[in-house]
Amino acid sequence: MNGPTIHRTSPQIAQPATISSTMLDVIIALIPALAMAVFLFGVRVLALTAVSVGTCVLAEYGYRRLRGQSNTIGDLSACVTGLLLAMSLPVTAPYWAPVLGGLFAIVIVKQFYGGLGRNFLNPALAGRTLLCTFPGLMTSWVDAFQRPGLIQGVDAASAATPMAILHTGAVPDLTLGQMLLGQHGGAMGGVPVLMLLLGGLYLVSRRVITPRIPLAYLGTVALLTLLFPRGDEGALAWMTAQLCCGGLVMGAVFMASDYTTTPVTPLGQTIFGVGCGVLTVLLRYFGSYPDGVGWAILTMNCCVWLMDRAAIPRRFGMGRFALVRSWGQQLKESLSAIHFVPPKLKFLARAGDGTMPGEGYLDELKGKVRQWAALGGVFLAVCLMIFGVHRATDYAAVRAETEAQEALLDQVMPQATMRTETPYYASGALSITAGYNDSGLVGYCVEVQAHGFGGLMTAVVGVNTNGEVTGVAVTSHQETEGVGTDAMTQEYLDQYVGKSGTIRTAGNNSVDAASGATATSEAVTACVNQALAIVANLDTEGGVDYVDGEV
Amino acid sequence: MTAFQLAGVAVAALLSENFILVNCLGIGTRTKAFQDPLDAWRTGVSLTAVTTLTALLSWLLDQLLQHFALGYFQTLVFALVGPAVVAGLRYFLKNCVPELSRRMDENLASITSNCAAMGAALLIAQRGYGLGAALLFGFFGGAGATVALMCLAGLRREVSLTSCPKSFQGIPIELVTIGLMALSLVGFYGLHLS
Amino acid sequence: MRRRFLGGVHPASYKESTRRKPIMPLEESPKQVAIPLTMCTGGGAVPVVKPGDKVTVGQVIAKPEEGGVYVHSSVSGRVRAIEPRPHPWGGRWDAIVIDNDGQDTPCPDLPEPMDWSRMDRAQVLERICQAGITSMGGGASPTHLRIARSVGRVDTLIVSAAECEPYLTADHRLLLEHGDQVLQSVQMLSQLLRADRAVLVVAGDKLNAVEFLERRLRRKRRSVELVTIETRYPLGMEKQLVRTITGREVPPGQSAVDVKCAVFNVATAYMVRAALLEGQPVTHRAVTVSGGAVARPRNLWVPIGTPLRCLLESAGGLKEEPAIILTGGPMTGTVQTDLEAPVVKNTNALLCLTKQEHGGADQPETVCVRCGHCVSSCPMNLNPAFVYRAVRMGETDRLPQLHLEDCMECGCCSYICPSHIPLADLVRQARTILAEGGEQA
Repeated sequence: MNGPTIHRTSPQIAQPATISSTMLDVIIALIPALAMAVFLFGVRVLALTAVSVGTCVLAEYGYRRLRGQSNTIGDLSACVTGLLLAMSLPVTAPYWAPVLGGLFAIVIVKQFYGGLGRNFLNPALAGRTLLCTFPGLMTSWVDAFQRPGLIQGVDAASAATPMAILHTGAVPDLTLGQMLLGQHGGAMGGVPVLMLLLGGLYLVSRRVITPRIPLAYLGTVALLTLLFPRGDEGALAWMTAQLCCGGLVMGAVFMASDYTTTPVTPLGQTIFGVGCGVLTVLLRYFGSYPDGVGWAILTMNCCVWLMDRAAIPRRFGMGRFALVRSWGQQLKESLSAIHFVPPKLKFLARAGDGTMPGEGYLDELKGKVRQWAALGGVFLAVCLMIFGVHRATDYAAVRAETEAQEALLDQVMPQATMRTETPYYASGALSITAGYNDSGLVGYCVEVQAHGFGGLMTAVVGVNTNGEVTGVAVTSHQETEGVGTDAMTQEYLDQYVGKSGTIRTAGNNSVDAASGATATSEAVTACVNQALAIVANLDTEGGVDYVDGEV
Repeated sequence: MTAFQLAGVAVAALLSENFILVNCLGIGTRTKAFQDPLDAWRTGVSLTAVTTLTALLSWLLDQLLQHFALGYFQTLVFALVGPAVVAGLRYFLKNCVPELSRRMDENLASITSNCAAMGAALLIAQRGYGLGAALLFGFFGGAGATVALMCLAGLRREVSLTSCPKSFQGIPIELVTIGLMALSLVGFYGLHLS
Repeated sequence: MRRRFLGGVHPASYKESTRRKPIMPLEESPKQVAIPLTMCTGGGAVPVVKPGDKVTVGQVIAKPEEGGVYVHSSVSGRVRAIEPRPHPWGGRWDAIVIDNDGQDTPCPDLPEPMDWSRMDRAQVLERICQAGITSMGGGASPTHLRIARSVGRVDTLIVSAAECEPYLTADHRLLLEHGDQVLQSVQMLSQLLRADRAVLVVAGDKLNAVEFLERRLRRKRRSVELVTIETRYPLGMEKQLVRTITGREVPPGQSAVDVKCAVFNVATAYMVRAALLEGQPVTHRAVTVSGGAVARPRNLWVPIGTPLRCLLESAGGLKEEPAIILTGGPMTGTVQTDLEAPVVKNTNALLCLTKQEHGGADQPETVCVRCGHCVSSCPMNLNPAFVYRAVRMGETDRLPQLHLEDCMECGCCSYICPSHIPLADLVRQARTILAEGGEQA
């Protein structure tokens, strides 16, 4: 039509917020929590925060200046990163900790990928996680109202945080009010839960964040902890403690709702929240670190691209599962092209195809034999080499090994004078050695494995015929030097001698865990329990009499 | 082993002992495998099939070797089992399921030199797993490697790997990305269900 | 209140300045009106008068081409010329320029009021076409064609007085001042279309209108259902209304008729009633003159073809330099640079926005932070964030799967973006790229 046409143009109004005003809103939301932290932990909080924010801002400015890119500190995102990083540290953290964490967060996690809006991991959380890998840094928590000075070493009295208590399966002894106000040990900003919730409400009311992710996250954690409680005070108390302690509220409200590292679609955001919740509960129940929030969020951050692709909003006007159905259709078509074709098994291809009978057959055979003969020859040669080496070095190796074994088994079963390897196999036992002395079988030394703090730990446990432990020795481990190794000293391991049955961590028939090395102690205990169980169920001719200890 | 312990082995193989991100096994020389999500999926599936079959075969062979007190041949045998499984699988697919072979032959071929297959066999032998645990370990280890490869490939398409300084572009920033992904899995070290 | 669709935004409504002002005629009749020959989207019209002819109010001055409607004179006087004049939709197009003699002599040949329930459908539709009725709510499609498409095929009639865009109050005043006629018109349309259900939709911020209408309804016991919906832009758009009122979603590529609904604007319904019951063609319409730069914002009853300048003068002129002048609402309206452009049949408002009101849209564009606000505010479930990525990072191979043909250009995404990225423009650009076969434009 040759005439005027209506064409829509862009809207001439827009909502007034900008990125910097949004970030400013986040900073305002964090101020009550910061104030509460100062009240609880003293002025050092402010000093650490200042160092952290300063490092982040300077790092961003410096990096971008050096690379000749535009100056972006005006959008206040570096400030927010610094603030969040500081608030997840313990107040006793040394001043170099936020510096290192801030540099890592801003330069590597954020700027290397293009700056604001382009990173795939939450910078503050990644910085904090980096610091977690330093032993001792993130494990010296002080109780509330202990106000360490500005310049001090880490001699403020450490206290077990509620998170540590929860990790052992008990409910901490705090009222709901105390938990909400944060009157206990923990991260500086993660502790005042009520203030963080107020901040979250402020952000929701200013339409900065939608409540979708925090609610999905907190709801999932609440549901899972309600369904699978631990401790002796009932499901509700366990759930409340899990919700209020640790960095969960801070993570759910401020870290998991970060714009850049979360999905863009509403359904994707819900999946993200639920996934974070499941991983958090998994890590809190079965992991080595007491608080799994940071790790859970980071792991989900790595999967955000998948959620964005999979959770596209349903097309307006199409059925609810139209997209899924179309995927299913595509998959079915793709898979239907795959058929099973019965093979035509012929050893030699040309056998019986024209030509003189047997001629092509022989050629083929010769070719194949040549092929495989080469391989077979090499294989045979290598086998012979191995065999020869084995024979030649056998005795020396065996002697050296025997000496090492003797020393080890001396430690583990001092009563025995003679040892032999047994042919017994039991599931979970790497080896079983029987120890004898003049009066006969003393018992068995079992080599077992269990999961420690940093990985697998291998230990040898001696169990006598009465089912009691005669000694424990740890042969390999991946625990932290100076922390976990406390649980592997001779005096610690001597605690196990004489115990039988199933050894617990508390109550009857227990050993005292080495302080600060709970996971390692548990691993050693697990090893011992495994060994005891193996010996109790060992299938041999002469039965083993054992006395079942108090269970 | 109880069902719970078996589940623990599976979860450990998937998360806290992820072949690629924790045990540093499994990234082969085929770079396309971690650059394109579909290729990553195919490589991962091939890897899972191979590790499971290798786990089975190597467990059986290990039992045999132990029975005949020939334990010192373990390394040689395991080294041969991996490529043998791959060759056998490729032969089978080529003759019996040609369409699948057409799509996945390259991926399967790249597993020949993949250390995860032999690594799985050795780990199983060292830890003395039973048959069930061995199969679960192989399968979930492969699954974990698949997830890691797909995440890496997916991230590569979404994340800009050219915004870093020139000296970091190319392999360094890819290694940094993998390292950051591995950082998030540090929390799973030592995870055990029992 | 019903809130059945996802998405949408809540701009400040700014209706306070005009919602209590009754619709008044212009203080001073325009000396000259320029009535464009094309005022609807179906087709143009051919003039039947020539320069020098005398015309009266309501006289036919142009006959439609294929798909168009009749054009009538809105003043009495003499035709001065038929020449290109500025058009509010852009450009200069042929218009019939009439010198106003100020008498407002009504045309003696107006059609008789009809007992329309006795007449057959074709005659009714012809009458509506002859009255020159087009959609008066913004889109300007010929009403008789819309009715023809829907007769017997719909079970729900929705007449919308929702007026979801800020500043607009003309429909609201129409409801308050002519509530009875509005209700009657809804009933008429419903009978005409043989619909089972007639719904008059009012937005929740017009509560006084709702109360008023409810009283009327109860008194006269009409069979019209009154539904209040929440104030959310773009609730007044056709597909969103259908979804909210009936729960049905219009499948992609189809229209409301395909889910058995017909949607009309309340001003259009009012005009249909006037045409059938009183024989009145479209010669005037209600226009809201508002915006922070206008001295006395008000609602005016204006002859078609009046230059926009006269409307401003009746509203007391400008009290400060406006940042932008628009016809229509601020989200979908057209920017006007020439105030000589006339009022046409779908001009529902004239807005002069101050720098502060317009300021949000002028902010510099920063980087996308993947907040997802655009995705959750899109009423058609599209994904503007992905479109941004595809267009700006050159990944145009991802565009076909984003089904951009569903976009109804409401502008919610541009409105809500905290980085002030012109997302609606980007979507338009992406559609051009797709139309050109995927080559980067």
